[in-house]
Formats: sequence, C-alpha cells, structure tokens
Amino acid sequence: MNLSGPYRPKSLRRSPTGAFLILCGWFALVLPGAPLRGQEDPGALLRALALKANDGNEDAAKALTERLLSAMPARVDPAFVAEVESAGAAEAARLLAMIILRSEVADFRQEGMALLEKAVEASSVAATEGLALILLEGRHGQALDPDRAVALLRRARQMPGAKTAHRLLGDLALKGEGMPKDTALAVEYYLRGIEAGSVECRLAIHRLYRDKDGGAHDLIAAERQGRAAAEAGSAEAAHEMGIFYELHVEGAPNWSRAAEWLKKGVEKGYGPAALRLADYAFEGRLGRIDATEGTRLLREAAGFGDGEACLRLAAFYEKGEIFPQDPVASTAWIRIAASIGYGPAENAYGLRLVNGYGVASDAAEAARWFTKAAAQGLADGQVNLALLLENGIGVTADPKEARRLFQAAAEAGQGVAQERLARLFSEGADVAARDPLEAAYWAALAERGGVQGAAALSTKLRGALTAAQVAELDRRLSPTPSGRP
Amino acid sequence: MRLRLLIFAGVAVLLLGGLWFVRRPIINAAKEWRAGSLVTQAEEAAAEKLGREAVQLATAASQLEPRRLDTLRRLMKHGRAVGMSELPAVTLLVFFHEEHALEDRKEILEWSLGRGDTAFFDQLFPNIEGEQALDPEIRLLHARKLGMQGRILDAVEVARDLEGDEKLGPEVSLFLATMLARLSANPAARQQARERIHAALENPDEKISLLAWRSLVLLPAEQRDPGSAFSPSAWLAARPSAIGEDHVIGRRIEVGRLPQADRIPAMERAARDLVALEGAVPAVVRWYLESGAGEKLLDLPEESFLGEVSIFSSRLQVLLDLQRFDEAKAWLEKAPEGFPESISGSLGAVFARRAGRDSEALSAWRRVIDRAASLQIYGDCLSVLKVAEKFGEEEAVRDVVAAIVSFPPNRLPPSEMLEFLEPRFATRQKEWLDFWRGIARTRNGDAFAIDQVAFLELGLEGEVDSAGHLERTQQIVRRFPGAPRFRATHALWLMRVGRNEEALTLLREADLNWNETDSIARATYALALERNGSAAEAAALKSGLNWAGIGPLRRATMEKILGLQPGASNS
Repeated sequence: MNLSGPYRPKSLRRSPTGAFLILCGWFALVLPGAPLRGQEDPGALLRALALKANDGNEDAAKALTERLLSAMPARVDPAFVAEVESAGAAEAARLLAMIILRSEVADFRQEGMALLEKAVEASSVAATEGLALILLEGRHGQALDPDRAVALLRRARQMPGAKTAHRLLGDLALKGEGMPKDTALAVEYYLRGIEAGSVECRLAIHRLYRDKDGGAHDLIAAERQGRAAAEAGSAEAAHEMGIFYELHVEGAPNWSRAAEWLKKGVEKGYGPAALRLADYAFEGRLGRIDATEGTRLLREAAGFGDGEACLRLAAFYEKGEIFPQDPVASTAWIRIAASIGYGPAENAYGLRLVNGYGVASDAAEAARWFTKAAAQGLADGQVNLALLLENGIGVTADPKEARRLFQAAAEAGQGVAQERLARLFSEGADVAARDPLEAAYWAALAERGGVQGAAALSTKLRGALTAAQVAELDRRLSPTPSGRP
Repeated sequence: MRLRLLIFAGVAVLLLGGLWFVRRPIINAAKEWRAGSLVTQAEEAAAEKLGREAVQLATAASQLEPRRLDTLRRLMKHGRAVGMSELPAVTLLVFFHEEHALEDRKEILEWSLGRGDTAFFDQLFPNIEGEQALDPEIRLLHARKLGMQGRILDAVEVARDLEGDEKLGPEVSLFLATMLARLSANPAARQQARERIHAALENPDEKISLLAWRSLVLLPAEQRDPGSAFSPSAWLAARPSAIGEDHVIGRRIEVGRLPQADRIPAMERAARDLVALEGAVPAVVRWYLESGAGEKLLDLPEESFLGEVSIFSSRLQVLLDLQRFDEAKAWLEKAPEGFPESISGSLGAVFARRAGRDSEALSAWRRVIDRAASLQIYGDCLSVLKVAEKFGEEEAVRDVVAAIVSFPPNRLPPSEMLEFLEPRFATRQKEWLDFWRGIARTRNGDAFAIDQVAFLELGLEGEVDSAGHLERTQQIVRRFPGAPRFRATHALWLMRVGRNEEALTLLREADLNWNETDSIARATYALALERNGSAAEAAALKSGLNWAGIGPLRRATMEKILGLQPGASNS
C-alpha cells in the first residue's frame, strides 16, 4: 500500500472549477443541504424564476418547479430573493440553470443545459462564461468541447461585464486548446482583462512575464504587474511576489523582499504564504533558523485552511521533530486537513485509519476517505481504494471497480497501480481480460518508476512475448515528442 | 379579296396579341441592350478622358435599370473610375444578384476596404452565409475590416485561424504582423510581428517581400534590422520594383547599426543622396522627425522641398515649430502652385502678430476669414481654424467657427467631420442642436446628422417626436449595422418609450466588441442591462465609464439620461 503519495500545495491545484465555484458561489445559498441563513419559501422562489425563464408560461413554470422541489428540497437566503425579483428572463434562465446543474441531479441536466443555452442565446455574459467552463471541464455530463468554449469566451469577452473570459482565453492560448498556441495572443487577452479590471489577469500575466520559457520574459513588467495585483488586494499575488523575489530575480534570491511580500500575503490570510514563510524560518533564510517562528507560521497557515501546513505539523508530531512524538496529535492534524477537503490529507488519513496509527483502526472509514481522495483524481487515493476493493477490506470486494481505479491511477503515472495492473493483465482472475502485451507494458512503466519488484516482473513478462509483441512493446515504450511513452 | 383581308387582319390580330403577351421580355431585352450599349459608350468616353460624358452615359445606363450581371459589373467598375453617384446602388445590385459569383462579392468587399468604407462593408458582410462565409479570402477581408476599425485583437483572432491556408499563408502572416505590431503594450506580440516581417522579407514573391519591407517601419526602430548579416543594399538591388521610400528604409537600417553618436551625421549624409530619388523626400522627413532631429531638415537643399505642397509644408512646419518666423515667412514666399491661400493668409496674420503689428494681424485674419466665408469653402475655413488654434488666436477661432456653422449644409463636409466643433458650443446647446437640425433637414438620409439630432433631443424635456426618432434611428441601424453609435441612439429611444427588452436585444445582436466602444455606447448598454434586471452587470459597467474623446454636450446628455450629476461619472 502506498504510504506517502506526492503532495501538492493547494495553490497549484487550482483549476477552472475554482473559478466556476467562485462565480457561482452564492448559488450555494439555495443548494440542497447548504448552510441556511434565511427561511424564504424556496417553492415560491423557484416558481418566480421558472416563470421568468419560461417567458411567463405558467404551466411550464409550475411543472418544472414541482419536479425540481420533489427532487432537491432547498431553503433560500433573503438576499437571493432580491436577485430573483430583479432578474430579467435571461438572468432568470441562467440562475435556474445553475441551480439545477449544481444540484447534480442527472435527470435535470438536459433541462438545466437548455435553460443555460437560452440565457446564452440572450447574450447573458455570466451564462456564456458559465457554459464555456462547463464545456472546458466536461461537467454536468457534457462532452469536452474546447472549440465551442473558445467561441463562447470570445463572444463573452466582447460583452461588457465579462469577468473571467479574458483570463480563460489567455490560459487556453498558452496551452493551444481550442485555438493555436500563441503567447502573444495570451498576453493580449490578459492585458485586455487587466483593462477590464481583472486581478486574475494581472496575476496570470505576472507569471507569464517572469517565466523564462514562456515566450514573453520581462522581469520588469512581471514585477510591475505582480505588485499591482497585490496592491489591488490579491493575497495570492502577494504570495506570488514572494516567489518572484525568491526564484525569478536576476542573481541570488532576495530573501528579505520575498519575506516582505509573503508577510503581506499572511496578513491577508493566505495559507501558502504563511507556509512558505515558515520554510524560510526553518531554513534560516532570514538570518537564523527559527523553529519557533516556523511552527507559529505553520499553525497560522493551518488556521487559514492550508492542508499542506496541517500535514507538515502532522509530520513533526509523527517524527518527533520540534515537538515530542505524538501519534494522536499527528493524526489529528491530518484529520483537520482531510476535513477541509485537501486530497492528499484525505488519502493520508485513510492510511492512518487502515494502520490504526493515532486513531482506532477502521477500514470502512478508511475506504470512505480514500473514496473522497480518489474523487478528486488523486492517484494515490485511487490505488489505496482499489486495494481495499480488491481485497474486500472494509468494503464489499469489487474487483471490477478496483481494476478501473488501478487503470485510472496507472494512466496518471502512479507506479504501484502500474505494477498491480501488470499483474492483473498477466495473472488476474478474469482470464478473458488477460493480455501479455498490456501486462508487459505496464510492468515496464512500473520498472521505470522504480517500483519494488517491478524489474523482475517486467523481465519475466517481456520474456513471455513473441518477437512481434516485443517490437510492439518497444514501439509503445519509445518516447513521444513530449518525452513520454 | 375580302377573305384575304380578313385572313390578313386575323393574322395581324394574332401577331399583335402574341406581341402583347411577350411585350415585357421584349422591352426588357431592349433596355438591357440599350444599357449595355450606353456602358460601352461610357467606357469609350472615359478612355478618351471625356469625364463628364462618361458620367452622364453611365447614369443614363443605370436609369434603364439593367438586370444582366455582366452589364452591372461593367457599370460598377466604370462607376468607380468616373465617380458615379449611383455607384452604391449598382454595387448592391451586383452583390445581391442571383447569379453573382463569390469573386464578385470578394471584389466588392475589397473595394469597400480600399476606400476605407467599413460601414458599407458592415452592411454587406452579414449577408454572406454558408460556404461563402467560410471562404478564407472572405474571412481575411473580414479580419482586415476589423483591423481598420481598430479592433486589433478581433482581427488577430480571425486571421490566426486562417494561417493553415496554403494559398493565403504569407499574406495572412504579414497581415498578422501588421496587426501584432500595433499591440504596443504587448512584448510577445511585438516579437512575433518582428519574426513574421523578417520571415516575409525572404518571400520569393517580390510584392510580398516589398510589403514586408515597408512594414518594417511599424516596428520600433531597434527591431527593424533583420541582423548584421543582412545587407539592405543587396536586398534592394535584387528587387527592381523598389521605390525611393524603400531605399530610405534600407539606409535607415544601415545607419541604425552605427554607434549612437555617429547616427545623426550618417543620416544627414545619406539624406543628401536620398532626396534625389523620386518619392523619397516624405520618408526622409519622417526619418529626421523620428530621430528627433527635425531642425536638421533645414540643412538639406531647399530645392528638395519645392516640389509638392506636402513636402513644401514639411519644411514650413519645422520652421514654425522652431519659431523661426522670419525664415518661415521667406520660405512661404516660395510656395509652390496650389499651396492654399487660406494657410498663407493665416500665417501672414500670425507673422504680423509675432512682429507686434497687431492691427495688421487683425486685418489679415479678417481678410482671410471673410474670403473663406464668402466663398463658402469649408477646407479653407478648416485650414484657418487649425492655424489659429495652433498659435492661440482665440478671436480668429471664434470667427471662423461662426463662419463654418453659418454655411448652407451643402457646403459642409460629411457630418462626421464636424463633430470636433462641439467643445466650442459647450455652453450653447441650442445653437449646436439647431446646426445639426439644419443639416439633417437639408441632407436627406444623412445618418450621422439624423443620429446627432436624435441623440441631442434625448436630453430635451417635454414634447419631442419620439415616433419619428424611433423610425429614423431604426433605419440608420439597418443601413449601418456595425456602427455602435447609431445602435446606441436607437436603443436609447426604445428605452425612452419603455421598449427595454427590444433595446437590449438590439444591442446584443450586433457583431461588436462593446468593450472597445465609446462610453456613450457602453453606458447605453449598462442602462439596457439595468432596465432588464441585470443590475449587477450594469453597475460594474457604469463604474468603469471613461469619457475621453466625448464632447461636453454628448456627455452631459448621457449623464442626464443615466440620472447622474454632470461630471459625476468621471472614472
């Protein structure tokens, strides 16, 4: 079982989903099970929305409202009622669409998408951006469609009030998704976004300018944009300015200036800034090693909801570094990080539950946490859950699902999953699914990843192949232009 | 005999009856033939440089309303050459002809861009649908139109998608370079523009490579040189169609390689040779001015500047900028034929004022303004106005503006060229409105004037002709679908009569980048959003209004509509 999956700071795991959640954050007020502040009648609210969204067709509005309420009872914030009252037909269609889609009730998807398309048709900026995000992420059962997403975003960016279109277009131009890869175009999108007041665009262009290989390297401009973003109140920008003075200035890192900016990030409650500043204290970057300050900062970062900081504190308690060794305290910090949805911590807490380290052993509960980690796409979580499913530990054995999870993790480059997949292809119980070439392929990848026992397995499986299969194996293993098989 | 007569009469009746039924095609064929013949005669007249006759014959041909595509094509081309007033109508007939070829449409769109008429392009382009709309050349024309409208990013987006086209590849790349070079705040765009232009210099098609060469001036001076291994003189020698301007570009590159201190003397040495080349002087003047050494132009032989009025003026401009009035006066005496008397007269007044001879200055101004006003020559008035403004002659400015607005509308230039006068009427709104009402009344269908009156009357209280404004502004939106200004005014009238949803639809259905329109259009959009229940979007838009470039009366009117205090919406 994998005990130490690679952790990535939360700041590096941001995705367009994040932006989508921000955009639609206030919808949470009417979502099923969301924290409730008001007691308005959700039925009346939905009816009002449905009526507007259906251009005053009372029968259609009534039918839709009844269906929605029967599937997803909700309560409503009074502030939201005011929004609904002032909404025109297009805005009502968008609001209703987002409520429906965010509910994740599959039966309503089609209706939700139709309403969203209707709002897009009426040129609602927020709806256009929202639909583009759905198509970029393939959410709500929609197929990935970057080309249409780009077309929508280009339309949105021409409308006043577009919030994220410029930033998303810039990101897509950098990746060459839905349009030819073009740094100049990306820069221009970001610059237009900055003109429209987007701090996100300022931050994106700061990163692009500071990156030597980005095709727009300009440290002076990077500093100017990063500073402006931070001064506009972005805690993330303050953190990035810290990184700038540490890693991207000419010559040696300017630790003191980096620390100044990181402190600004800490003042604004940004966990990764506190975490980085804690590292400075532990490494003595600001003159002397200061473990007390380091741990204070780690606790502060943890208080800001930074999962990585919690895991670092947990590691100190586990190893007896700085603090006396304390399995219970260690596991408690992991539990805190897991409870705030930090994927690596969900996986780590699952492992603690499996091993009974600092907490009573509970395989069923472990499986629940691995499931959460796996749902975030964390390959380590997928492997750990697959191992429980394969062996029926804490859950009903489900070899089929276990195999699916191994496959997903193996494709993401997880070595243990690759080795397990190789064994399933060579000696799995499902004889029909055996495939010596596939087995040898995954074993070879596991061997490359340095997984214990993989080398011997790989040699054995390769030896069992025909000459033609060996040739095919070598072809598949030969590096592609991206450097990966 | 009687029987014969009866038979003959019967045949005659049948024949006439038959002719009666086919009279239309016969008349039409005759008209077609006649129109074709008139076009041929018009073409012959044009070839013999009988301009007036060429126009009259073409007009007569168009009045016969020919329908044959071939005749219409010839009439259109002839109309362009001789300046026929029916040209737009004939062009539309070709564009929408049921037998039209895609090439006809391309050619018309290209022609409209060639004369800078993006409004005509906008009127036609939305009618290109289906396969035709996907044609790479059509899309490139669209990109060019966007570029001409200053929508650079939009133009880049369209052109970037065309790069894969084998036939258009170099042309698209060069077009992209010219667009990217205009994104001055974007270092990656400048870099890409440079790479594209330098690559196009080696294009085997001399036309493309020379276009690239002339595009070098779009780049910052330090980025024009393709590298020290590149020899401008060898490059030019291999291109026999290079003109004087091209040789100036080559010498600029060579001089740019010298140490900073040596560049100005080298430029002066080079310029002495270059001014002898035909058409090189304007490029030499630009070189001096961009090098910050405009005053050194005066060291070049005077004869070099005695040719065209524009070249003569460039030396005069330097003398005036340096306030060397005596020399300017002496230079002015050598003005070539065709140099505007209005400018020489105005400058005479300026020279008198500078010499302290105020009464002489006063009478000189009076003379020049009275002359321009009595002859009702707008161009002369404009020249006088520019000189008076440049030298701070406020009284002369007032007098000449008063003269301009008293002109009969048929003596004024296109309406859009008159709006710059608005600040002079900041405290005289009624006079300004009356001026525009006069133009709108006299010039039937003048879209700009109709829009101006409709907009200014939005600021009036009490009875106004809402129905009339609605109808007229709707018509001009149909004629100029790509003009945000006209769309905004119509939307404002729709909102004034409570048709808010229609207003928002009207604004949203346009192929426009609202983020790049002026503040009045954006404020209109905000108002439409607000009236349609998108208060949050509207508030964000309203808070970012910037009134730069908007006249005081238009701004005050818009602020009134928005319910803002005058000047309160400064961003």
